[in-house]
Amino acid sequence: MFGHIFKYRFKSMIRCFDVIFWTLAFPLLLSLFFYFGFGSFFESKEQFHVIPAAVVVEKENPYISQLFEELSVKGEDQMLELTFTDREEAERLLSDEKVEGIFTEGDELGLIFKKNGLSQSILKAIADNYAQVSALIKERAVSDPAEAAFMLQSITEDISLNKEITYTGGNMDSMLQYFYALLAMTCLYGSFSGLINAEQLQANLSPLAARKVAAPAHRMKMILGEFSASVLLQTAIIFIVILFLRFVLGIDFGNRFLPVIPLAFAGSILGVSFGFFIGCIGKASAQLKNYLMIAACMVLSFLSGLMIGDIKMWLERSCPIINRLNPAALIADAFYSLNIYDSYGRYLANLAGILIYAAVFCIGGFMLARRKKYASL
Amino acid sequence: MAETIVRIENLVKRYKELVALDHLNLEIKEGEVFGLLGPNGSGKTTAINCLLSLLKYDKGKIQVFGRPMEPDTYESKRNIGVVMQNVAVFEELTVYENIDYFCGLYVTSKAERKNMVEEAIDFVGLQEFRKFYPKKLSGGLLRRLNIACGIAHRPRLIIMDEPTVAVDPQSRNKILEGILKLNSQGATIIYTSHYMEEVEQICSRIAIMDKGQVIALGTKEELKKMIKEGETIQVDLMELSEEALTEIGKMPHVYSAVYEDNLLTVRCSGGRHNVIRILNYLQEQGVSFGQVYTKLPTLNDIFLEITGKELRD
Repeated sequence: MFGHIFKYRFKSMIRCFDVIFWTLAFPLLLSLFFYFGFGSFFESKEQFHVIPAAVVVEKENPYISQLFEELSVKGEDQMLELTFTDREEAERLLSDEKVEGIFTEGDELGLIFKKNGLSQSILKAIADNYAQVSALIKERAVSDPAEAAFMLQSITEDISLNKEITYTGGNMDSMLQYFYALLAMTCLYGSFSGLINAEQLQANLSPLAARKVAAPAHRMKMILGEFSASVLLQTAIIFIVILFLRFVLGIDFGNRFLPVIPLAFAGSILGVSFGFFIGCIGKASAQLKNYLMIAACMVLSFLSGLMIGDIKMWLERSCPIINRLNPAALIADAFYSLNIYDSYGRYLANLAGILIYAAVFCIGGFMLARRKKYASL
Repeated sequence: MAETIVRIENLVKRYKELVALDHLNLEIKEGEVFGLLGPNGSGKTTAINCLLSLLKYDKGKIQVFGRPMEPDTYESKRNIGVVMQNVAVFEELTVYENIDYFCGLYVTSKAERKNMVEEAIDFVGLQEFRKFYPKKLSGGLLRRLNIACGIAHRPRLIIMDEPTVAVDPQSRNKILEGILKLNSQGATIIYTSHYMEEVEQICSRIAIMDKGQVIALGTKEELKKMIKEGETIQVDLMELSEEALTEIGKMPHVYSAVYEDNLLTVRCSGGRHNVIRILNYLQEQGVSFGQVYTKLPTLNDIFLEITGKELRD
């Protein structure tokens, strides 16, 4: 009986335009919108590691020249794209934002930049590192030229570490927040199938439900069969969205795939049970409940950074409790933690929060739906 | 004597101030096509929903197959087929899948179910539409699908709540023929309707309901005997004198004679040769007449006489 109910619920959901549109097509369309909307970001991200800078040679310095040579070698590790020019031209390039900063080569390595940012921080780190070791380099160059060369190389390596901040293979791009929020929204949109389940299980909400209640099917088997089918479908949809983002749009979420499985599963349970719970409350029309649910999903997704990426950071500073309580923020943060942090602590804390929400909605929904007789139909 | 399949005793159901069922008593025997006839709001569907244990009720007892009917009386439910007033099918499943789904809630064996579903499709004549989705079906075909979903598991008791609402005459006839066929195959049918012609046509016993009560119960013939009107005769006349009208009113078995708008309407309480007697009298009086109509009493007349209002009010 469970298998029979499960099979047909899965079939009917997969063919339901509303469910497939809102839970699958809409997130995919939104991801495309984000992708093309942030197109310039993704292009610039590719050049992020290669920072354009101008060099004004005031006095030839072989150590600095060697450093520049190492940092601008073409290939995967190239860090700087250098333009050797005079000061006037360099300043023009800087004011036109064609370069991020100007190095001055002389006895010392000087640096001029106009604004602050990650690129400028890296340029400054190069200049600072050189300043720290330059005296030693000059000293060793006489006694031990090999050691001097090694020290120069160490500057390059130190700077390289600045690029590889994460231990997870993921990246720190702030734009990814939008995609984490999008995945959270996809999970919450599982509530569409949860709501349909509720409508079709309670005799006072639809003739179809009344017909099902009149059948000799055990109430809990019916509820669980339909719920499980919806959760499975929603989990599959989340994976389709993740795979689309990763392999079609090329969004890098890091290399931790296994922990995504329980996260997607828990997110699906949360979404479906949320819709089921709303569907089971009161006798309001299905349409009204639908509107309420969409509004709730949109507000929660908004607060998790779907429309304004920085809102989550702003809330974290001004009212962190909202981030702790918002289920969409928990899901988005769980994806973020997986991508960024070496340890699983934050991911597990988020996962626990998601499961607690899911349990509350499940228990509430099941308690309301287990009714077998109704005061009116 | 046939076994009592459904017994409803003193059933009371209130919706706040409104009494939807007022000490309803019914007994339905195996093999009957039992009609529940009444105007909209008379309590037919409420009675069915209480019988199916979907609705809570305030008072009374319901027994089906000799057992008290409760939501988890699965053994009894397994032998009941339900055809709801509103079409209750999945929009996203095909005709075949819908029937298989509902049949599967009653019959777990897949092989057994396959035959049952095929039979149900044949029975309602949806062979050509088995792969159609409900939205592609006309109103009549949709109703037939609704019936197939209710009967595929071969229930002993089939409850049909207004299954022909908004159905074209052709589909309606098919449905009614189907119900009689199911009955001939051994199923007991409870059929609710506000279409008296349908109930007259197929039901072996009829309960007429009004305001949550059974106001008349019996076979069609028994019900018609309950009222004094046996026959209504109408004659087109160009003119009729007051004297002649009074004479007609005094004839045997005649209890009312009215002449209005060139139409003489004579109501008789039974008896034979009423038409011939009236026409002979008119001829004797030299009154020329046009068309003559006679009408036997309908269930509506019974309802009218008992409640003072039309069944379709």
